[in-house]
Amino acid sequence: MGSAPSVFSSASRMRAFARRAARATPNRSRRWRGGKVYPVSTHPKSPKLRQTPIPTTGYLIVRGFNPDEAAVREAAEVFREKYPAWSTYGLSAFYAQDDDAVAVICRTKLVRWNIVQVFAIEDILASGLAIYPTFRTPHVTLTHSDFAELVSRLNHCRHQTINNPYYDH
Amino acid sequence: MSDQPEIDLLLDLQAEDETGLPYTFVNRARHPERIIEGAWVVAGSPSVNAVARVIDIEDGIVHVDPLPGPASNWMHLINQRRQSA
Repeated sequence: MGSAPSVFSSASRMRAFARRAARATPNRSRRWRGGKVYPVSTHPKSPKLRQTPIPTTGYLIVRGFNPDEAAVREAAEVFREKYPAWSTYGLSAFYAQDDDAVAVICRTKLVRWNIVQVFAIEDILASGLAIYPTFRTPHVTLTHSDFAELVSRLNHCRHQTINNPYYDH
Repeated sequence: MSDQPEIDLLLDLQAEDETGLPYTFVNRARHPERIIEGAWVVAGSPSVNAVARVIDIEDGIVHVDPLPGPASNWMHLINQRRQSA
């Protein structure tokens, strides 16, 4: 086995981004998607957002490809039902700063997925989907108010499909 | 594949919430009465699934902790449950 992937190689970059974000972010708000500001909801039926937003450029979004549309729909509906304050459909994914971080996600979070989709974060945003840094790093939620649009935009968004080298089934 | 296990909880195993665990609503289970804390279930979808332990149930939300490896490695846990039911 080769050397372990370095997931912390860009820690200084992350800290620099956090500093810039902190300067640019008004109290109790997030600067997001080129300046659009989303208020931080304190509603108990809202998903928990992390303090540090993820970058809007240069990063990757990784998601295991699930051919079972029923399961994808189920997940999106459950998110909407569990967090009614947002009233939006949501799908889980993970963000990665580089290929090494993608490898770590493939080996841990997505080890059950044979096929993994990797998107540039700019392409996801350009497709009209929103990305929120929800719950625990590196988890994110991709959202849209319409389920069909959520799936369609994700499917048509430019991405790279890779065979997970760590798939263990 | 012909030996796909019956799915007790249809969910996306990469989905997680505040707990870091996959989740869904109990009432969406195939047999909600079987979803009790500590029970072994098959969770996921027909193509991506795992044997998982039910960790907790709160406000109708069930969290599961999938076991590593393919479901076939752990089906004896499911079969024991079914035999004792």
